[in-house]
Amino acid sequence: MKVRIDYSLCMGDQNCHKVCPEVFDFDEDQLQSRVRVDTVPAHLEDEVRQAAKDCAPGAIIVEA
Amino acid sequence: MNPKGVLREEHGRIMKMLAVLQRFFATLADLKEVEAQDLGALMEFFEIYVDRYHHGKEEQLVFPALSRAQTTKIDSLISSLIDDHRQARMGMELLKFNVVTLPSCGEADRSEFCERAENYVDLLRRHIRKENSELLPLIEERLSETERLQMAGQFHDLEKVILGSGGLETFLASVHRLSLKYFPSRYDSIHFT
Ligand code: SF4
Repeated sequence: MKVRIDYSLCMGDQNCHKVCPEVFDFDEDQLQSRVRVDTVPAHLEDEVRQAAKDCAPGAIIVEA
Repeated sequence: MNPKGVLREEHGRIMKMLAVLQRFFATLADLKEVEAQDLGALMEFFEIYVDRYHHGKEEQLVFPALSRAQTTKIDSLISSLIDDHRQARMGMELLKFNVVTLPSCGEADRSEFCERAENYVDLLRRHIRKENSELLPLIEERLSETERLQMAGQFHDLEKVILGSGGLETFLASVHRLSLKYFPSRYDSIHFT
């Protein structure tokens, strides 16, 4: 599974970082989250899906 | 819902509509009746939901409560956020002026409108990120549970005064409709609350 963030939508509330810090980092300068992995480890896929579902502006894009 | 959660969800809706506004201008070739209706809905959202309702809530309820809690450096943060609100209000006034003339205007006026819209989008995006990062955490850190409960009730009262009965639902429907129309492959029902 791949995941990316649409930076025009990311509002920097760090929710994804709280849900799955192994995959989502927070950039303190840009006040936006960043994806820190190329491919989501299998054991974190559910957490990433949950982070995408909870992302209020819908900035997290999950690609199978 | 707690005040921090309410403001966070409102920020999410505003980010969606900023993306719609940006896409609207990027793809605008001709202002036919359908596009004119969409533009009207967008302007109404930014003028009433964002400026009067969301920013009104922050200025009348959130900022004074945090100021009373005497949080470190809160006064300079609040004054920079109020300044953003003021600039956004001015930007919206300029855009409204352009909207009236848009159907009959030439290329130069149209590009001026697009530039003003881009500036408005940039300003609000930076402002929302600043609030999510610096302001919203203070609501939970500095206000007691009683104060937060009281604030949630005041949010509700302000909604009735500013948006009236059914007003909120109308704006939520606008966010839903326009997000799906301008980003058809992006959203599904989970992203509309
Ligand atoms: S949850 Fe969404 S909006 Fe919030 S920081 Fe993560 S990607 Fe950005």
